[in-house]
Amino acid sequence: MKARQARWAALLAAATLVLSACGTSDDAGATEANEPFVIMMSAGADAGPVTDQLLTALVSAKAGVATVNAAGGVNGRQVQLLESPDNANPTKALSALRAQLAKKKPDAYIVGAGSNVSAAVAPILNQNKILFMNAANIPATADPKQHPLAFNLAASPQVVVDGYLPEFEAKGYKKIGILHGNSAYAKTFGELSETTFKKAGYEVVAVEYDSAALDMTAQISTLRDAAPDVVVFNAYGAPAGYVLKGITKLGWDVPLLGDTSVSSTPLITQEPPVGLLGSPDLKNLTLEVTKSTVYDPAAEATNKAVKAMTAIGKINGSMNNCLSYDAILLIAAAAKSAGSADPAAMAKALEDPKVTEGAGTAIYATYPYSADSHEPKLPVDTHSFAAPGPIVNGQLGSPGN
Amino acid sequence: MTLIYAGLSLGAVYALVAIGYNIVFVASRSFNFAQAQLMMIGAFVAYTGHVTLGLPAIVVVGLAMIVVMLVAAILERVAVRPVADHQTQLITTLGFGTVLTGLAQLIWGSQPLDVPFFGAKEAITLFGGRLYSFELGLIVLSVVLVAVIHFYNRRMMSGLAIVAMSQDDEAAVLRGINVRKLAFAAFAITGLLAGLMGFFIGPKTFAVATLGSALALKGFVALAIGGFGSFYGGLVGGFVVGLVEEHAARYLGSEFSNLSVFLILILVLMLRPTGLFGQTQERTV
Repeated sequence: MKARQARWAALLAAATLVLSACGTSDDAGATEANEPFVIMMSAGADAGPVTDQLLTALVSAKAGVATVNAAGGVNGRQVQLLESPDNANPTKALSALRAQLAKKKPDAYIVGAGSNVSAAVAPILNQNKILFMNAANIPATADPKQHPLAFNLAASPQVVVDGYLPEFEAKGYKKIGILHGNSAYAKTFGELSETTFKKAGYEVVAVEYDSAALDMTAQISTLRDAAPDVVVFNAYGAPAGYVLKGITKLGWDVPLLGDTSVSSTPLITQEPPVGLLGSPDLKNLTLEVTKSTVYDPAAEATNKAVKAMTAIGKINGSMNNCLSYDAILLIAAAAKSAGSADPAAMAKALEDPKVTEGAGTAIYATYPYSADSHEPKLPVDTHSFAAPGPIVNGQLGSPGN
Repeated sequence: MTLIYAGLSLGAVYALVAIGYNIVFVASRSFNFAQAQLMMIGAFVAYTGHVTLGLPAIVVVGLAMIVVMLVAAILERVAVRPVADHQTQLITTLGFGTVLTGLAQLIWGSQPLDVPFFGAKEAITLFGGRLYSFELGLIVLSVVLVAVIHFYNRRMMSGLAIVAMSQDDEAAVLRGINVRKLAFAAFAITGLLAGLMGFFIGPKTFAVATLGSALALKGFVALAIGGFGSFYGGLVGGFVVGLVEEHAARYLGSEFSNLSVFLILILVLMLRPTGLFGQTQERTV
């Protein structure tokens, strides 16, 4: 009697398991198709000097979501943007991510600004197999061996630095002065510039400044004594103003090439009395900008992105801060090519140049990733040089002027 | 000479923060860690007066002084008076400073704003060195302020009352001095002066929400070098910090700038624990 009961119980359990397994599979497929594609993003409105970058990154991501959703979403799934109110604070970003993982795993994650946040969340995203689009480049997220599902979005410092060489050649500069800050990116920029320019046969003198300093007279005096033909400098926010005012104070008449962080500083791209544009401090300054930062009526994808972004909010600084727009479009293109939302399949798709070329991205026309490197190998002409002017809607020469 | 001017003007900024710390310290034996943020608010108000409202310079100075005085009065009522001991006041004033930074960011944004100065906009040459007129203004302001405060504390009845209060507040009460009122007045005057300082500092540092945190630490170092409670000490301390910072950055590299400042601080405190101008007080145990 007992044996018969046990047989029935076993049969019932097996049937339940089989049925539930079939049911789960079907339900999961149907549920996934109906559920939104959730992208979590580091965000906030109180991040000190990077607040504008963070706000603009969010506006660009929202515009990307609107564009992708209008085109049918990610393989038919509507994209939902989940803001992590961490203010680019790595500890808070990590806590918010862990809290979200405890509730429901997001399909992708974006960092729009703050390399410290990228460094903090990257291992957790990797551990949980979440696609990571990172606008705040760190070396680890460019290495597929370490982080197979992570992709850097911004141009590598090497591409930025290489962009100066044709300018030096054209202007006949022989001795280059470099002035850079002491943040992680600024140090990398300084070291790479020094190495690259020396390798290209230029005489180089490099000076570092403390990004928290309130006066640059000492650093500029050191550079002036070396008498370079041109000064390449990196600065964002108030330090950009200290450098320019310091050079004017010393009466030093030297050509200045400001990198993309200088061109992203509103103080430099706004007219007095708010900014320094048009003042004698900027008379020798030329800015390095991405192509998309200069308005081009023929650049359809960029103009479409600007329209989408300005419909949602304000673009502070330049288009350099809007890489999150491209991130959303790249995710949608990868999912379409892979035919699924499986992160590994999407990552594989992103390594195919045809997929990134056809994504309709706005800041860079394409993001050439490969199986060996998840840093976009952008061509040198991605960046150009322009005289300082008012940047409106993220662009120089914008019709919004 | 240019480097010396740069060091002195930067030092004057730190000295002005130290003066603000000292006024409150002398009056109430507590530290107002929101002092640098009060000056930051002064710089933003100067910007609003100049740029947004297009007011004449003299009105802008008055506006900055009154607004920051009101903020300082609120600070005293909210973060100082309800707190019993001085140690806790360090935390509450620090918290108030953080609130001010957040508010400044909400009102004026996170980007630096160029604050115009009423003097010549071009750099001038003086004894072979180059400096802006606002840098000269900062140096003069810090020296004049210290001289005026010193005179006030030595010659005016209320100044003497404040000094008496700092020596022994219980004895001061017994002599009929309204300690609470004077402590409140010290905060209000600190605010008044912070508004004036913000007007002069803004053209050099720009009006930026992070200015407070950038100034707070170096201002405190200037105070520690000069000696707590000594206005001349705060001035000299500020100049020492500014000059060391500039010369270290020029001849050793910017990575040695802060290192040199703190090395000087340690040396001074080892040789004279009360600071260069600080006075030791004998106490019966």
